[in-house]
Amino acid sequence: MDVTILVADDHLSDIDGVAAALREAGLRVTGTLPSTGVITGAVGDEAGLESIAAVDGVAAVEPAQQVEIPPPDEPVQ
Amino acid sequence: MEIDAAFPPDGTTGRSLVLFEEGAANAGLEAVQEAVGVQVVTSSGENDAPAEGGGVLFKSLGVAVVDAPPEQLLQVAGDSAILAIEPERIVYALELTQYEGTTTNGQPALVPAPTSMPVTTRADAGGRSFEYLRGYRDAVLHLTDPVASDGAAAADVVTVAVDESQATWGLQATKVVNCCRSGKGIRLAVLDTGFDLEHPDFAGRPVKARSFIAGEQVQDGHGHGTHCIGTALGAKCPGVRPRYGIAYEADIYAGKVLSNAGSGADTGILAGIEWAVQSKCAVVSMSLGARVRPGQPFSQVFERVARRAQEQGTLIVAAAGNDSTRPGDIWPVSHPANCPSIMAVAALDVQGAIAPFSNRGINPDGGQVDIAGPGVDVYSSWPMPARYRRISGTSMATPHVAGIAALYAEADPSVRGAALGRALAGGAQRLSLPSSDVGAGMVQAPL
Repeated sequence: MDVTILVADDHLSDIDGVAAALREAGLRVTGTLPSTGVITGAVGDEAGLESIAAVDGVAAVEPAQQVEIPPPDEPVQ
Repeated sequence: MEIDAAFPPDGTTGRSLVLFEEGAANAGLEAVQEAVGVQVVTSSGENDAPAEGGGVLFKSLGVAVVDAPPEQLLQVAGDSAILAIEPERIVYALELTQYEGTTTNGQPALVPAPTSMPVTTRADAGGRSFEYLRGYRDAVLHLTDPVASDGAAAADVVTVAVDESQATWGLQATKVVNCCRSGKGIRLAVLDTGFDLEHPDFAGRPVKARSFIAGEQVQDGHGHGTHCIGTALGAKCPGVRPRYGIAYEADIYAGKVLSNAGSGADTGILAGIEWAVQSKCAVVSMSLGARVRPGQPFSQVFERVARRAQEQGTLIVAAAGNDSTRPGDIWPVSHPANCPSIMAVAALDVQGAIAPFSNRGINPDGGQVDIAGPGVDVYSSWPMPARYRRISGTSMATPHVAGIAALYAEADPSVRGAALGRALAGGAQRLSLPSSDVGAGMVQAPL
């Protein structure tokens, strides 16, 4: 399951440290975004979500949503 | 009673439209026939073009088309049975027949009637072609609408006369065509399906591009991204008229966060936003979204990211979504436009009516529509060889707002982030529609 993780304001300066702690908690990190304070990654299951939410410096964890636009030939895009 | 002399003769047919007082068409017609010596016949609905030296009366509209210029009708202008006399215009009929959405009773169209020589659709001198009749009907409606005080005459109108020969209706309705700004010095990111890097209308324009889709290049294999970039950033004088682009000197940042098949995910979108913030883009345009259920909360991650972006000088605008089928089925603003710190953009048509597909601000705690833009029948660039295409959607309204945001950003270097959003809302044209549908109203270019 792909997830997006919001890094807390007081941990923004140590986003790499938060990412390392998340790896230890079972997250496969796919991106670290220092300007906006986000870490993206993947976990195996719902239980994995709970363990990464408990990591110090994590303000929020959300399942990544899919977005979709219609095929090119549709009149409404 | 007045004679409208505002339109140049070269945009007219030489005939006149005469509007009669209700119930006085016969009396008015007699006066006209006597004055100019023409025979006016009543419309049969089949062959409605006036014969040479004659005229046609549209009885249900109370309008006659007379084969004589307005100057020859001056002597009957004071007749009590006659409300108005205008030259018959050559008009371009902008089809909206696919979207018979809410009409705005009595509300004037957002685009003025043509004041220069428009593209003519008149196909033959006999004037019996469908296109001629359609344009002809539009001209009649243009004359009757302002007089019809209850708007009844306009209620079933699905076409409006707009001259798009020089600029799209959207650039006219937003007053971009009157604006001296170009977006020069402003960086604008469009996060979408990429960009046709070979498009001739953008030859010589510097483009920064990055793909956030694994295994796909920035080159747009869909078309959506090229259309959105065209609206926000297209040329002032494209190879082929009309003009369709807004911030023609802004720096193009094309981020591919949707695949050529049109799908993407939060992870790639967030990476695209990060890239835009790091690149110091003043504006991020996101014509994308996922459906939101009534009562569903907005994303805490995207909300905080949007606020952090604003604090670093980047405003994010996003499409309100196309999930609705009005009037019966109306959905909330999509994710991520439903975040309070992301500007949600609804779609309007050329008449200023809400597009039938456009979502509404339904959910509490954010989730509102902030502003509206042109989003029905929008002409813009499309990957070659097609070059151009007309499509509709809140996706098309969004880059109108983003491009205009770049104009505001250029006008005042101190206006960035949340302040830029407030400037856009403050400058919008108020509409007689619920703010839950259109927010502050139709986005307008700075003066």
